[in-house]
Amino acid sequence: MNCERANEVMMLDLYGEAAAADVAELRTHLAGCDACRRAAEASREALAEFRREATPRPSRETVEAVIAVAQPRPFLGGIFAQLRPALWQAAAVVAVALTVSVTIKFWPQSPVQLAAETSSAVTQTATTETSWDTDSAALSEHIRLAQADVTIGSSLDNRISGLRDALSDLRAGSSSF
Amino acid sequence: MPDQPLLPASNVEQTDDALFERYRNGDAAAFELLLARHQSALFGFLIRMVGDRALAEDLFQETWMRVVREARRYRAEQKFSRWLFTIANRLAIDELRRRKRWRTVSVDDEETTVELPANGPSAADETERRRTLSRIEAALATMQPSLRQVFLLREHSGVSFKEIAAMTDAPLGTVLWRMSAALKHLRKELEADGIDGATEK
Repeated sequence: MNCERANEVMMLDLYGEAAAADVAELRTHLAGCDACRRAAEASREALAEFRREATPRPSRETVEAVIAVAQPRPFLGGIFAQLRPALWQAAAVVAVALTVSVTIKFWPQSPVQLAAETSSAVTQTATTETSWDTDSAALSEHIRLAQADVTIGSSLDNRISGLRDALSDLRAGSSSF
Repeated sequence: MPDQPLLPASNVEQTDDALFERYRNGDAAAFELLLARHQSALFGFLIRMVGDRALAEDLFQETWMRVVREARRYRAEQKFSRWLFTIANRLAIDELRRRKRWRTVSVDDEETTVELPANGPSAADETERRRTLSRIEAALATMQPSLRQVFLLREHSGVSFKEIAAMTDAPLGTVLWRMSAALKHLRKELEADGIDGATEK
């Protein structure tokens, strides 16, 4: 052990932190090194002198101020502290919901989106077919009504024609008077 | 007027961590036990670190306020005393950097409450005590802050050199060298003062 290492072990030994093997080596070193032995003795004396001194303590006012600061929190603060875990849980749920929503919204060709699109297409086709059926029925009705109109029209034409004939007969009869 | 004890006698059966856990669960009495246990060492560290009683009182309060404020962030594996002195050390170093000076104000003024032997000192003992105290103050005042920091942390906090190395962000070898240099400085100042004292007599 050299003097530098002896000095380190000496410091550790002052506070009982040195390993037993190191302490044994230090003792061997000190037995043969006057300078280190004197330094070790002087260090112990200086430390003892320092430790003989009374330790100053804080004022009563300072201690009272610290105790006041450390008191449990007021009522509302306590309630908040109790609610805090619940608030955190609620915040976590909202965060997860938002993440899922955004993912579904912006994820390209997400399964949900595909399902929604397919469903929409099927609905649209069904709607179109329903529309065709409806239009076809309406057209048939129009044709039926139109044919009825034609029938009525023919009838009216016949009547008008008959009336025209009658009117011609009347004119001819009046001219013979 | 003799002071009534403000704090309960420290309960040695409970560890710091157990007391702090009790405090975190709302037991203010546990905090007072912790304060009683550490107040003397912590204040001794601070006042000798900054050399100013009023400033040391402020830093003492600030240290405990941070303990209260950051109670939820504390982890038991940190060891309470190490955590406490890490906070105090940081505050003291910041303050010293800000002021860039070390005020040599007596810590033994009339406001100081000092732990004295139970049987009470004689007048001669008291005179000698004050003399030695002023010698130590002078030695600390002229000691480099990095040496003073290691010396006071080891003496007051009870944390190991290895932990001090972590707290001060320095290698263990450097910390041990600083401790040795601090003791050498203290020894030199005390010896020099002793020679002066002998001359005066």
